[in-house]
Amino acid sequence: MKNNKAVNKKAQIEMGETIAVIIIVTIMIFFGLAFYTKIKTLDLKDQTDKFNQFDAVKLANIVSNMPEILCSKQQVIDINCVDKYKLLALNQSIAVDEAFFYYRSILHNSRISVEQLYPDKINYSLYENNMTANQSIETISIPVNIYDPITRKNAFGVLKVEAYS
Amino acid sequence: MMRKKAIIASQFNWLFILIVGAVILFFFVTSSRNQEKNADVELAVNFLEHLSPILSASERSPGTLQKIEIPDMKIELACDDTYSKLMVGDGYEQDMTYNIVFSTKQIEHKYLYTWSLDWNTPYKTASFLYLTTPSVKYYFVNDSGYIRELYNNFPKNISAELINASSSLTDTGYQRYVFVYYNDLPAITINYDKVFGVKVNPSNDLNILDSHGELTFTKGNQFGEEEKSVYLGLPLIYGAIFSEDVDFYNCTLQKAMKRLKIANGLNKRRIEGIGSALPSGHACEPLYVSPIDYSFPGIASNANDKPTIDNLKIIYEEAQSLRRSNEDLIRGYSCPLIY
Repeated sequence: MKNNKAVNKKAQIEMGETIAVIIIVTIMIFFGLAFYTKIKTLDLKDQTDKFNQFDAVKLANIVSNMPEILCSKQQVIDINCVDKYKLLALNQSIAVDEAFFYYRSILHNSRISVEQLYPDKINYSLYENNMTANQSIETISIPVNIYDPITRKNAFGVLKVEAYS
Repeated sequence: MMRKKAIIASQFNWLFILIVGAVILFFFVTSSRNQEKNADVELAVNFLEHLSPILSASERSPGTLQKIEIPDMKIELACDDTYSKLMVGDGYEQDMTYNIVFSTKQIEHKYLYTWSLDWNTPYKTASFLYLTTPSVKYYFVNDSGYIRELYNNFPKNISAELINASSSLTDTGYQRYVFVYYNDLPAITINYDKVFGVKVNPSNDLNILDSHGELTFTKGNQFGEEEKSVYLGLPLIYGAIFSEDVDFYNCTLQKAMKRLKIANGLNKRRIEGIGSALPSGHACEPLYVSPIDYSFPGIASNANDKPTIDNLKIIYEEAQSLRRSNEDLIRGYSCPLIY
């Protein structure tokens, strides 16, 4: 009878040990998973930021090379120079539905403008579409000359590309 | 009784080891699979990050051929009415709605050639980008001056050959053979699945290649399957030569025409703006009347998504008229130019 009790106790201790091991291993797996998920989430956020920056750079690249705004003389395009009257024409054209839908498919959720800084401060708004409640804005500014074909004078400004995401 | 408990405990231990082992194994297998998938996506993203500026640089330097080494992954191009994209591997795609790209639908080679030309009507409307690989062979059938002109302007590093219509050709291991011709095709003993023909037929009223005309896309047994389309300017003929088929060409042509319509509207507004900013009675003012009243509206009303040869004829004539007006502006009064 006494022997039976001792064996029972030993079995109970073994069972207790097993349960403790199960609990410890489960906790370790749980922590492992939580740690992994956290790392992955941070990684995903980094990736998303990288994509957003990449998209903004792509957008800036498209806009800064658009023949629609760049200065030209007989088909020869002058990079880093925007034509004042092309800016005004683009602004007016985008107000028309067809052109707006065309540019929306290219420029997506963004704001494109040219800010003249010298000699006078003038803002040329070219495009704006912010359909989503924007969580973040990536801004890229490119210095440009703003050429007036009538006076043949250059002004200085920045082409501002703000990509909403 | 004691023995029975020991057996149960032992079984329980083994069951526990099995379950925990399975969970741990599952965890590692899943994470390594995810890692592999992520690595593929990362490779695709990195590749696109590098490819994107290369394509932009290529567009900015018309006439320049670039040879790019690309990773061992599938590149696909898709074009439909509203959206164009470049897909790399299974992981990532890039919006190409703004870019006007002529290419085969799939690019599978270690190297990619990029080439570009400006499409001027007569102002710069777009830069066309052409993509191909060393696995495509281009044959220009020397049956007219038009084809020689096309061959002479074709980039020299791309595998191309000027051949006679009497030549006899065999399969030399390329994945695709493109024949550019005016009249006749040479005798070929190549599997017709690999062969694709573009027949160029410039408009009779001008007899100039760099104007407008008709294109016939031929394929199949003895080039029996024919589909027709149209072109405006040399860059679109090259577009047909680099395109997968008539559908891909027409889709890209549609994008080009859409851009033409928008660019035309912008240029018209610009000239109207300049005209109204000039002092009243300025000597330049009358020189803008004809472009504003005739040339720009003429182009706008003919820049359809699916243009006919008659539409392109009018666009070509109005573009020539704009060219002359621009020359007058330079010659006579040093006025602000139309383009």
